[in-house]
Amino acid sequence: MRKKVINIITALIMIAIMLFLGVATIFRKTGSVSYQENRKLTQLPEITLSSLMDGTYIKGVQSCFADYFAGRSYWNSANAVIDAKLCESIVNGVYITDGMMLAVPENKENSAKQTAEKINAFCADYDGAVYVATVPSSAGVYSEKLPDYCDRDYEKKLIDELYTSLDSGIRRIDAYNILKMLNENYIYYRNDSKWTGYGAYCVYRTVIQKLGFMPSAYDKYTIRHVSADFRGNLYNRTQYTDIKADMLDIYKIDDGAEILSFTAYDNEGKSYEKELYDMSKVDTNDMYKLYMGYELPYVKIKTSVNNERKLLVIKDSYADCFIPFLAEHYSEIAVIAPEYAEDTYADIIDIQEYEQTLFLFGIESVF
Amino acid sequence: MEFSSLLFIYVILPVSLLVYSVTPEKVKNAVLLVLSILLCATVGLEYLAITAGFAVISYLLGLLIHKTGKIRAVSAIFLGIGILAGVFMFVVFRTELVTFPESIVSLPMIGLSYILLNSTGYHIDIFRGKIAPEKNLFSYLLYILFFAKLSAGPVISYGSFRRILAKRRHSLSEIGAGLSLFAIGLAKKVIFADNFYELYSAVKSIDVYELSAVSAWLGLGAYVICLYFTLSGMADMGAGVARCFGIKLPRSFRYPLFSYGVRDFCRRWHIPVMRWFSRYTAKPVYKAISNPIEKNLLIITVCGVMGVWYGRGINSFIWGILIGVSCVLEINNSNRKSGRLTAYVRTFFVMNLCWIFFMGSDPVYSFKYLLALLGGNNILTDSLSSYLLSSYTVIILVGIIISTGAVPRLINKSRKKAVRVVYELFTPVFVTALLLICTALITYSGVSQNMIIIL
Repeated sequence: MRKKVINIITALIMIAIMLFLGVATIFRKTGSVSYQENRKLTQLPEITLSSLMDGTYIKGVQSCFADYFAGRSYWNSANAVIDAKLCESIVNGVYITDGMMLAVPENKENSAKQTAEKINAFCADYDGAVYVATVPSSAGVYSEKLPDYCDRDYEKKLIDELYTSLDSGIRRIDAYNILKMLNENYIYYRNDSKWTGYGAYCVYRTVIQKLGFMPSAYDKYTIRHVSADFRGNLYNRTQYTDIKADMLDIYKIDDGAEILSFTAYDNEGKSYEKELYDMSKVDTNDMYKLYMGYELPYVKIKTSVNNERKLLVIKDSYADCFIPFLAEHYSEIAVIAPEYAEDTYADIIDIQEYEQTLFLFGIESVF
Repeated sequence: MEFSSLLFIYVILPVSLLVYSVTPEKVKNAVLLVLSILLCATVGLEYLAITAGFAVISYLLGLLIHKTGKIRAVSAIFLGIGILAGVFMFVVFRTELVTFPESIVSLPMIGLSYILLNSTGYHIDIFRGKIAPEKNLFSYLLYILFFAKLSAGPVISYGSFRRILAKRRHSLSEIGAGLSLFAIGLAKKVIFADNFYELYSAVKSIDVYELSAVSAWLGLGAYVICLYFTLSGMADMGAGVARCFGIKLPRSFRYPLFSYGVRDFCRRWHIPVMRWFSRYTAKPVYKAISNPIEKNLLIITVCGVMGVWYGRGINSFIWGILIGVSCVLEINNSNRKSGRLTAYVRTFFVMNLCWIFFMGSDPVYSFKYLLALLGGNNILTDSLSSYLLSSYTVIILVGIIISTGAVPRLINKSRKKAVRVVYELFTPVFVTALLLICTALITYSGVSQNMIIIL
């Protein structure tokens, strides 16, 4: 009898929870973008015969349901805490170690060769000098913190493979070893896989010498802490809050070069006047976008430097906090972001106008 | 669809329970069949077509075996066709001997191995005249496709299934008991099996020549315990769901990892499957032969066949053979008395020796692994083993305690009534907590994906 009553209580509690969460999920009013995870949520798939046949339709419904699951970010944080404290500290492929998070390298197919081929193809019809810097992620620079069974040389091998596939005339910049040597410093974010402003500065010193300039000394900069609670892509994956939030810095030389114009173009050639730093992004969930995060494929920057030197940068988001350092040396910098560009380069930018080209991108663009 | 997915737990299960509760007693079986077919369809319509198609063929063969029952030879031919159909399905979907168009092979074909045992057992029972064939196709379809046992096992004979269905008692208290069992199964899969899977994968990613002895033991232990928690978690979830619908399925595991003999292990491991192999393959032949050597060979062969059924290629066959040999050795030395503790320790080592072969993908790897296990790489511990030990301390300790079954045994044995009352009162809180923890663990991907074995 007692057992029966207890079973009835169990049934009532569990059914109530199931119905509550189920109904709450189905009638949940929320946008199609997750603020915490900084990504688009999976939408209900379209019904097609083939997706019904092989079950991918239901798989789509399942991931849509999971993405819209009531209290999803709370569940995810709870999951992160359970994993970090009680199990191996790997949460959704992110390793949580003393004071920072690192993405666990996955040994999957990479595109090192294809990336190198694209750069080689670019060089074939370009007359100027080409420089390539592939920037490791925090998991590469701090690989000794990763668990033993991870491939700690993964990013190094990837960069080596890319560099050896490049044509001989291309100048390679060894960002990996520079950063590795300095990894006692705050050169990578704790909650993001990218480098910090200081990390970018350390590599800038080498890059700018190769490009033919003297680097600006560190003490000439005034550093502005724009935000002290930046949480980046690794936080988005784990929603783990026990790691200290990061600082976003802006480096500026007081009597340095001024930005005269900053014009971004979309794929149709329409131009937009923008600022070098987009301060409105500081109040969003994706603060890193304050560094040139316009999601537009082409940018032209004109500065007050009076040397008629022109540089073309082909980049991903790693370069966004790096370009301000370059702006001290060139009167014009053009930027191409292939991830947003529909053509490799359009009529907007005539590459031959630029005597130097710098490919600057993070390792994630090679995965 | 996987039981350990958010969509199943929070939509499909409560909705089906509601629908089932409001339907009148007469059509409850029909509702179960419709639900089962819908759930098969969620795996993919191709999957539904294959399983339901096979079930229809099996149903027709059952009728034919019965109709021709008086002419034994003809009847035997139909029985042979039934068995061959099962073997054919097994070869096509469980081995790599046949290559098929990409789309069909990529289907997970969950539960196919169980379907084959069910169908074959049904045919043999009819041939032997133990049961009459089912005339109603829909009843037979329910037997084969019933969703609670489709992916989770219990291989029960058709006669037992009919009896279980007839004894159905649907009530709120049964739902409570079912949901408790479901939550426990879910926790076994999501909390333990998934974490042990990570531990096992970490060890597996290291070159076998560089494994330290402790890491190798950790990897093997994690593998075995993950296999146990996966299969028994699935079985518990299935039995729990079935119980919610008022159907009591038999138990599949009785804490097999700590047995005092290999035969004892066979009595506790995957009980319905073991019983199937003994009933339909071992016993009929065993009775017919008298030569003790032949009997021993029979045991070894049956265990080998069982190994093949688990389907990891040549390695699981070796696993089966090893188990068979150990059983035979045990039977022949049964008069030698030894203490319980030595028996436990001996079985532990014998079983682990067998599991090395089950775990590996080819025999050479397994031998290398065995060498690493014995310290053949001349490394006892390394940073990996201490990292894994410290990361997984909680999971390993709790996992081992649970897999021994010590806690429920102690409570049931307890003379103080108060202990048992507190334990029972604590159950609703405990299972609710398990459900919530598991929900947190699967929310990111929406489903617990890592399956160490597909049956």
